[in-house]
Amino acid sequence: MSEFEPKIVAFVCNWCTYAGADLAGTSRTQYASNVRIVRFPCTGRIDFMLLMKAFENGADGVIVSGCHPNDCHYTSGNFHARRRWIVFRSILDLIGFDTDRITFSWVSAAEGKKWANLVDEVTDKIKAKGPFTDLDKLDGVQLKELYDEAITK
Amino acid sequence: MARIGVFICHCGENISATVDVAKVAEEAAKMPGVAYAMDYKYMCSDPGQTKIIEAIKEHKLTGIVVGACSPRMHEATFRKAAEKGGINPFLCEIANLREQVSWVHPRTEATTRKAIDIVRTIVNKVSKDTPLFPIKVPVTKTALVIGGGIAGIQAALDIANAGHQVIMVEKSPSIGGHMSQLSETFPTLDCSQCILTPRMVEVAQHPNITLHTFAEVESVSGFVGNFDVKVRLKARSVDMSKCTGCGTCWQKCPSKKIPDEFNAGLSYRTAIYSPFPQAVPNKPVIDRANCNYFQKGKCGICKKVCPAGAIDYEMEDEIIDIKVGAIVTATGFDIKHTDFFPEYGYGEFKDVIDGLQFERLASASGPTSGEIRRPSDGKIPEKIVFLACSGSRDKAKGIEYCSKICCMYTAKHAMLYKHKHHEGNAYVFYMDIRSAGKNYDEFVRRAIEEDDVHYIRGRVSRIYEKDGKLIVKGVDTLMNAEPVEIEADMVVLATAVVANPDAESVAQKMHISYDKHHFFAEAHPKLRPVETNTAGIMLAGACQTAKDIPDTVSQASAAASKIMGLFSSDEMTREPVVAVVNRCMPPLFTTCTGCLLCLEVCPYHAIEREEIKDRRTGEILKVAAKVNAGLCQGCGTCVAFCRNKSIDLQGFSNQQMLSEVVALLNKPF
Amino acid sequence: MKLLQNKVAELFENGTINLMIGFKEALTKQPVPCFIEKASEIEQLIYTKDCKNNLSVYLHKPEVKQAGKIGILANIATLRALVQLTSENQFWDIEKTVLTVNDKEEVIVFSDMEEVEAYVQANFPEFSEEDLKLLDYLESLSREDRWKYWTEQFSACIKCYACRAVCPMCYCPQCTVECNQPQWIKTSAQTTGNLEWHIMRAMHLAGRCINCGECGRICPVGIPVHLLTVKMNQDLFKEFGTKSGFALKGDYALNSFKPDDKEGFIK
Repeated sequence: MSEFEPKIVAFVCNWCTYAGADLAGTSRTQYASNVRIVRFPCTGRIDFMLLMKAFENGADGVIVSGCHPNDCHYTSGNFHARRRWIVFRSILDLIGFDTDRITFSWVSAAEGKKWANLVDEVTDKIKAKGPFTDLDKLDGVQLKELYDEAITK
Repeated sequence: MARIGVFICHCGENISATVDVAKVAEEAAKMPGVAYAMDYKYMCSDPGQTKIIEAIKEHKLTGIVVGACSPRMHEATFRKAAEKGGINPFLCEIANLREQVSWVHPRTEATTRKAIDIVRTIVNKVSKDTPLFPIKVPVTKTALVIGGGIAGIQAALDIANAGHQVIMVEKSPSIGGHMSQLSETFPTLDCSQCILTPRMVEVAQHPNITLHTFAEVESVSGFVGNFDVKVRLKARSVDMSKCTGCGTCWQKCPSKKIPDEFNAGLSYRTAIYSPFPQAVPNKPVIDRANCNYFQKGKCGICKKVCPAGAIDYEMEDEIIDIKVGAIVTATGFDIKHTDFFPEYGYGEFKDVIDGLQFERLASASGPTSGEIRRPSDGKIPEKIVFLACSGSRDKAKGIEYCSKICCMYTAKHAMLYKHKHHEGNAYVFYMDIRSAGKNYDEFVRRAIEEDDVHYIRGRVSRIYEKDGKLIVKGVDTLMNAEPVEIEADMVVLATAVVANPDAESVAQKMHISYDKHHFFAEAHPKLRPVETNTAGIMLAGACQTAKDIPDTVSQASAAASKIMGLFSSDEMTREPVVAVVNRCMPPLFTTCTGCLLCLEVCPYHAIEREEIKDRRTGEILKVAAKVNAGLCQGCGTCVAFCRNKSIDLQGFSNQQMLSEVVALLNKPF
Repeated sequence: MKLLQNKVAELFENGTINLMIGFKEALTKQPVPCFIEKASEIEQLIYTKDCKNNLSVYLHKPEVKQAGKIGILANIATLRALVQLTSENQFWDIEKTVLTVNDKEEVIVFSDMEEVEAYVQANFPEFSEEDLKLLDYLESLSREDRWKYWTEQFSACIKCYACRAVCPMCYCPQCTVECNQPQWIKTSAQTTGNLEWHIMRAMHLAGRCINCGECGRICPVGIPVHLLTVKMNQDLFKEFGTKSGFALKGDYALNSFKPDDKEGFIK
């Protein structure tokens, strides 16, 4: 079997991290090809539901990244996003969801190198952790139990 | 059913060197909804664009995906091509195959797979795209300038000279602001009033400027291009159309002991007064709080002596409604007064004065006709101590920032004093000398080297009076922190520049943000320093932060040019990437709960409360949020915030974003 | 009890209310909600420590709103809910009269929401010790065990949405779970969809939940769903100092921010 190649989805803002990823390109900085970027106008637009959807649809890791504090193109979208992430992480933590699979970061338009490093680090981390199967197991187990229960009756 | 065209660019070899572009096009052709796919060497070239235009027509495409460089490069180019081909430009999206694929990965299968994934994602997004149309907003080509100091004057003149109407509102009886109080200006030592008064007169006489002095803005509503402003014209008690400004009234007024604001409290004025001889308009107002007639019902002398019959005690405040397209906020600053400093006597020592008071003493139009004399006994001081950073850069006093102008004006003060009294001694206590600016450091050096001003690096801990002298106790940190004691005749505190006391309420009226010191906030500290977060409202001068005259004037002109740009066409076109609150059939009307918590989230105050009413009875059926498309900038913070998805962002809708995520993940990477 | 009944009778007589939402005795130990439309029905009205229901949830119902002038007998959780809901601009379309019975068994009729706010602030309840103990226990577990615990719990969820129906803060005319353009949450009662539902519910209630615990109490399969929002509120208070159902002029953590908000996870 070939080496596990994780699927990493990156939710990024248009003005900082997307531009930073472009800069990595113009500077020809090489990084792991496991990442797929979804572009948003602002981190404030990134709905926590989309993060859940990404995992449900098979992502092994998620990156969320935008402008550094005080650098938001819309002045405060990232501040609102930060509070939301604090709360979201805390609920995932309580439920026991593996929050290590979500990486939050500030990457500015000038930080092409930081972007490349971030993708490499996350890719390595997720590779080490292996595929995300927590959710797949859930429904499987439940259906099997229901089935077992049904036939024993 | 969508018919999407996919166009893969080689970008010379920039993309094709590491991505198998033919394979990408081949795979794209198989994607659901895709009717046509091709690859080409230079998609952005003229022949490339022609290929897109022709393909749209030939294959009856309903949307297109261009796999090329970053959308930040050529999105606009390809959207124009799409429009030429006959489809809505917002149905064209870019798959970033260069900056985020070919340039950052080697030539491997995985790289091509990534390119295919990205194309698939964007194809999915386009299949959920809806045509969007630019929002056109009419523009009222009249500007409101709030504040008649040098910032407001400069902005008003620039806009008026460009041929647009300007309404200026100034809260005091005359325009001129703090600059009219200054004696000479650094670094040239030219007389402040000599350069300012011609500008003031120009404002008053300009055919495009309507001037309202003794007036204040009551409220601002509406949005860029279309503000509705209520202005309160305070009762002057003097009929401006009759008054000739002859001055008989203030010569005869018996209430003569009112501290004169223009002279920073160093002299007195009457109850009916014009603030200073060069005032514009040079017509008096009655200060009702200090007028015998208004306070005790007796007197009425001014009415008796006025040859023009201009005095009107019955006059009331009047509120006028004006419509403007843009606003310049130039409301200026204030300074801390000497009573802010317990260590320097709480303002009790008459000869401890602030910088503005010194300006008045040094000014030819001031209470001493330009002779520097002690307020206490009128004697000419032989020793003056100047304290820079009085309050500024002092966390303990709650003012961490540098007031910026004090180093320069303190050098100027010391110089002016030395020029008038060659034998006098001037000492300056300072923390650092901050004199960055054209000819600024040279100016300070001149004070030290040519005019023999003694600069002492250190702070003053205490000032007390003894035998008619002010004992100044400080340290000289460049002399091993040795204590220094100076017997001075006068002490001038370069007190901190602070926001106006009413700055917070002004900001709230305008719906603009402000910092913790109540200075108004710019839209971006580096790239949008003259705009506020509210589109159409600009900043000029020291209401934003402490500024000297050259900086103030530059910013005022910048604000004016922003407004001239806005006024250059009758309609403003805005990107339709804005948030929208959904609408549906009654009785639901919208799924919005009307909790209105999103009002706080919007950085642009673009969300407002809307009452949905029965058309016949006027009964309120529902309260909901509504996005003002004129103000919305499309960040989408409200969209992710809304609990039940009642707000969506055009161009980045929930449908689009979710379909991108799903499309990305349903294949191996 | 007589005091309360007399007070309510008075309110009916002088026309202050034409519907009273209160409690009546039931076969079980716990009293149940009752709706009194005329003075003659007042005798059934009771108030005891076991009156746990959060009656404010009924104020959202169109059938109730129709009455126009509504009296509501409120325990402390209900009072908090009323404060929170007022800060969320609800109930502009009804006239409500709020009553409570305090520790000394005195009947209080609040004259306006400011009085309710003051009462709530003076009698602000702590988190229940039982809940905190459970949370402590959960936090002492390893992440994997917490995951196991909750996914087992959620696998039992039948998506009956009783937790939503009983919650005074869940008043959206259309819940995201019913949104199908796009479909955010799977409709079938499978564990992933259930998990998403409960995470979403907790996120939407974070900083708004007034800790009445009704959702956990009502759950027919016994999932302690209220713990999620208790934890949220606990965290929000710790991080941002905000309290839900505390002030009429909202103090909501998620529509505000401070530039120097602290977090320890953003790289």
